[in-house]
Amino acid sequence: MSAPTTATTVAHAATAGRTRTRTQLVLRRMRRHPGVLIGGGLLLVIIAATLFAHVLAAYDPLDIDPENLSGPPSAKHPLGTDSLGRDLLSRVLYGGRISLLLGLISVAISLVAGVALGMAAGYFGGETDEVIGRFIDVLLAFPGLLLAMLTIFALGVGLTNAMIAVGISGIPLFQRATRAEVLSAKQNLYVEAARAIGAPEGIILWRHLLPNIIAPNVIVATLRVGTAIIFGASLSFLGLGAQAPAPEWGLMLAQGRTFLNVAWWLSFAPGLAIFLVVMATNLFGDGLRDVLDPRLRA
Amino acid sequence: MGSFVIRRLLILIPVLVGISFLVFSAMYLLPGDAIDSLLAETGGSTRDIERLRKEFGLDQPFLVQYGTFLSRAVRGDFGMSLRQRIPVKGAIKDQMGATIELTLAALVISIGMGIGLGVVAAIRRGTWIDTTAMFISLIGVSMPIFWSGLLLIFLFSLRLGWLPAAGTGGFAALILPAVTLGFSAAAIIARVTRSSLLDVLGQDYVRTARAKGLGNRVVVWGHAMRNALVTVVTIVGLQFGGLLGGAVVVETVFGRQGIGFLAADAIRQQDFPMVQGTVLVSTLAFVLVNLAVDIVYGFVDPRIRYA
Repeated sequence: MSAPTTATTVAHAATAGRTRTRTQLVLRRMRRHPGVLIGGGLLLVIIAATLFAHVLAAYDPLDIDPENLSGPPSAKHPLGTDSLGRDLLSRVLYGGRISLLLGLISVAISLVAGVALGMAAGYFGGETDEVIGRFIDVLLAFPGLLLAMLTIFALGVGLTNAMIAVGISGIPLFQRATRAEVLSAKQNLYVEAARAIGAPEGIILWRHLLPNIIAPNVIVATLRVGTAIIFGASLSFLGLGAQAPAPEWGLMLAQGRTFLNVAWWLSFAPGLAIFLVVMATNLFGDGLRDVLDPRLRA
Repeated sequence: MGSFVIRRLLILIPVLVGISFLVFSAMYLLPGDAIDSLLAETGGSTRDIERLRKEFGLDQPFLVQYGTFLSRAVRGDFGMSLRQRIPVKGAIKDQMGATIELTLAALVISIGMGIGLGVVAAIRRGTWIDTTAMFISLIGVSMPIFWSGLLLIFLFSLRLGWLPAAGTGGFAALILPAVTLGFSAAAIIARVTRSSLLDVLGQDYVRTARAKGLGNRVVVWGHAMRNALVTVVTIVGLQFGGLLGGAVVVETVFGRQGIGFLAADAIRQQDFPMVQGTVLVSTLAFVLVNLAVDIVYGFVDPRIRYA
C-alpha cells in the first residue's frame, strides 16, 4: 500500500470508509515511528538470517572438528569454534531458528489460552469470571521463571516442554487484557442488538467481540515475544530446555561459560544474539503500542 | 482499615490452596516415577522401589497424598530430599539467607537506579538525557541476565580482578550478582517511574505548586513524586517476583548458594520433595510481599480501600 501523499488521496481514503483510513493511518504512523523502523528492520534482518541459515552458514552446526577446538575468531570461522570444534557462527545462525520458534509458539499458546479464558470471563461474568480469575491469580502468584520451571518439572526436560512451560506462564497477560476489553466492548449497542435479534452466543463472541480484542492482544503478544525468548533461553541455560547438541543460544552460553577465561567468544556471541533479538522485538512492540493505541503512550 | 486487611487476607486463602495444589500436582504428573529413575541410576531392586514408594507415601490415592502434603507443608515440613537424604526444611533454611541477601541487595539497586533514571528522564523529557535514560532501560529489559552476569564476571573478575567471580558470603561477592539482578528490574521501574511522573506533572495541583513560586526540586520531589510513587510501589512489588525468579539464574551464573540454585538443581534431579519445598517457599515469599504492598497501598492511598 502506498502512502497517501496528497490531500486528494487522503480525502478519497476518508470517503472509502473508516477501516481503510484507520489502516492507512496506522501504517503511516508506523513508517514514521523510529522504534518501529529500527526494531522492525533489525527483526527482518534477523528473521531472514535464520530462515536462510542453511545458505548463510558455511558449516553444519553439529559438525565436530577435533583439529580446531575452541578456536578464536578467524577468517574461516568468523566467530570462532566451540570446545568441540563446531563453527560458532553456523551454530548462532541455526540457533535463531530455535529461539524465534520458541518465541512464536509459546506466545501462540499464551495467546490462544489467554484470549479464550479472557473472553469467557469477561462475557459470562459471575461465577465463570470468579473461577477463571482465581485460577489466573494462582498463576500470577508464582515468581517469574518459577512457574515455567515447575511446568518443566511436571512434563520433563526438553525444548518442546520449554515452549509449553513458557506459554503457560504467559497466559495471565492475555487473559487480563482480553477480559478488560470484552467488559467494555460488551456494553456496545451492537452487542445488545445482536442479542436482541437472537444471535447465538458463539456468534456474538466470535463476530462482534473478537474484533475488539485483536489490537490490544497484538500489542501484548509483540511485547511478550522478547520475554518469552529470554525465558526459553534461561530454561536451556539451566539445563531444563533444549538439550545438547542442539545449537540453542542459552545452552551454548551455558556450555561456553566454563571457558570464559580462555575463550570468551563462546559465551559472547550467543548472548549478543539473544540481546539483539529481544531488543528488536521490544523496540518494535513499544512502537506498535504507540501507533495502535496512542492512549497508552508512555 | 482493619476490615480491608482482613478482606485482603481472606482472598489469599484460595490462592494459597491453588498454589499448593499446582505444586503438588506437578509431582504427580512427573513422567516416569521419580523413584524409578532414582533406582535405575543407583541400581535398586523391585523391593527397594516398593519400600521407597511406601516411605514417600506414593502408594496412597491422589487426594490422600495431597492432604498429607498440605497438612505437613503448613508446618514447614516438606519431608526428606530424595537425593540428598536430608530434610528439605533444613536445606531451605541453610540456603535462604543467601537468597534473601541477594534479592534485597538487588531490590535496593533496582529501586535506586530505576527511580533515578525515571525521574531524570521525566524532568528532561524529550532531551538527549531522556533518550539516553530510556535507551539504558531498553538495554536492561533486553539483556538476558545470564549474559550480563557473564559480561560483568569477564570484565570485573577475570580482566580487572577487582571482584570475585563466584562464591557466597561477604560484601565483595555480593556486588556483581546484585548488580546483574538489579539492573534488569531497574529498567522496568525506570519506565514506570517516568510515565507515572509525567502523568502527575501534567496535573493541576502541580501547576498550582509551580504558580505559587515553588522551586522545581520541591515541586518534583515534594509534590509530584508522592503521587507518582503510588504506581511505582506496585511495580516494585511485582518486580520482586522477577527478582526471585531471576535469582535462580543469577545464583547459577555466580555459583552462589541459594534457594534458586537449590530449586533448579532439584528439578534437574527430579527430587520432588525439594522442588515442592523450594517452589512453595519462594512463591509464598512473593505472595506475602505483594500482600504487604497492597496493605501499604491502602495506607498511602485511602481511595484504594473502598474500591
